[in-house]
Amino acid sequence: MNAWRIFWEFCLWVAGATFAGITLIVIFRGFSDLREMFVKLAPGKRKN
Amino acid sequence: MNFTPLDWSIVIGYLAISMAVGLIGKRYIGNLSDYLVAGRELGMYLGIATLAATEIGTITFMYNGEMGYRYGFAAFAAALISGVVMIIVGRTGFVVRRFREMRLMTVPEFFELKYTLGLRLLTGVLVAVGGILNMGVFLKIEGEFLTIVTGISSRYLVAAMTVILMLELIYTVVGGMVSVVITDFLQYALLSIATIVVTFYAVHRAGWTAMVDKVATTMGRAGFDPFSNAKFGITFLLWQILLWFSIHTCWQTTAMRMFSTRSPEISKRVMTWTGFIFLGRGMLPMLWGIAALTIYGAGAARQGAPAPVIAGHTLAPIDAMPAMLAHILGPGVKGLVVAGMLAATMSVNSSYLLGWSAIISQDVAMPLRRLMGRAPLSSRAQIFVNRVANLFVSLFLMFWGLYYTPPGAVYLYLNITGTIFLAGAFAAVTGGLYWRRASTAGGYLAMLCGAGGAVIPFFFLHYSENITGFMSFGLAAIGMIVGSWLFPPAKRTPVEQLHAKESS
Repeated sequence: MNAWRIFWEFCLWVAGATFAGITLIVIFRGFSDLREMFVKLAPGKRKN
Repeated sequence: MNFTPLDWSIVIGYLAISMAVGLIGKRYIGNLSDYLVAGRELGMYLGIATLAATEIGTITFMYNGEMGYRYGFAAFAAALISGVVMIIVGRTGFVVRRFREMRLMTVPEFFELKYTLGLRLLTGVLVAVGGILNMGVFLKIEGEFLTIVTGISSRYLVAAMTVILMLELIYTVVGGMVSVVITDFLQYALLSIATIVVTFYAVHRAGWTAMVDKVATTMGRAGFDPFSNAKFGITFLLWQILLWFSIHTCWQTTAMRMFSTRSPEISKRVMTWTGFIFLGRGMLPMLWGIAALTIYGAGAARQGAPAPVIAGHTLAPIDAMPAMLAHILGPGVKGLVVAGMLAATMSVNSSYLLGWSAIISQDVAMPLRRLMGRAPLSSRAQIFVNRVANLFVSLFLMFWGLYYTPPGAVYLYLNITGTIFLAGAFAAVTGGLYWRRASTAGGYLAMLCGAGGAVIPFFFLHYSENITGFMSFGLAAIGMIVGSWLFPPAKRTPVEQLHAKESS
């Protein structure tokens, strides 16, 4: 039981840290993706 | 009433901004591809935001909170499987890369490319029925969360949820995937912040050592070891692995994000990184459930876990987590968390509305027209049919969703309704992509055996979710193999042509 407890504690740390880390990166870098999507979808600026 | 004027102003401010941002999408809709897959212009970070926001809703927090409350740390196994499987799918590109290369807009579209128009139609019907029934319980559960946390009277529940559904519907109908992606980005930021805030509050309030002790004393080894928990065990874990492989590859709302990315390589990266978010998506709300068990689990034992008791009232396990939030969060923070949960609700519901209505229009209505010998509709007319389908799905949700109560743990109910079409679709898709002998007869048998294998044992023979789910996937695979061996494919399809092009 103790081994499982340690395992879940480790998983929880990984899950929490990656959740917070990826959230921060996505919030900051997602804006440029959003801007690029608007540019490419803007009427008159389509590739095809 | 648990809400202060500050909390209300945060929530109303969020709703207004979300609506205004959502309506921006309309100006970027030029054709059907823009409407359904945002012109396939999603970059990696935006892809991660929209995929995560689509699959993290208040419903997700509620059922995962319930899992944590009922089964303790052992429930983490389900979250671990969902995240690890997603990372594997992303790293290998299993199914998703080929789907993206085919430039699909819906999953059943593949069934026509590989098999026949008839099988696309059958799959479209099964996916639409299963998907909408699955989504049908969302509103009620989400409404329960809101009424418990805000403290508003339950008689306003129908009105409140109808208003929220209408707001989602307006921007989804008007701006399609572009609006959904823009709002998802905003909603992802808000829901993630709320998730992190609640996690700190819950663990701080309950105390980590107390949480571990509570699970140990009430559930013993079964609260930590998924193999010794009667509800889980090896059958459950195997079913979950198959189920999550099928969800990450064949679930329409997830697949639509993969179809919307700029390239197959970006779709793989989006899937990989979102896999890490999926670990937290499951484990963090489960942790809230364990915190609720620690604070309020003082009632009579029910299937291992004591019932939650608050101010002398015994609640259902699923309501323990929101009741805890209503008590531990202070003014302002509560408003932020509820706005975050509303963001989660709206991002899921708008994406699901678009996903299931796309199936109804593209894989049911359009194939029916073609079978009747009618001319194909223009892009503009197809967008109109999509919008009408959106309205239809919303009306159904309003009447079904607010009155139907699922039996047992909501997580397992959602899994079983999803399995009805996922088992067959997964067998037919993997067979169609990776096995040259896969035939239309195999595809039909897979879909029918998968659906029958879920419905008959669960609803008529009353087998457990684990056995039902596992059996459904097994029968679908057998159907695919037997059907294809007995009736091999007669002609080369566009999918084989793609295989040949890859190998040359």
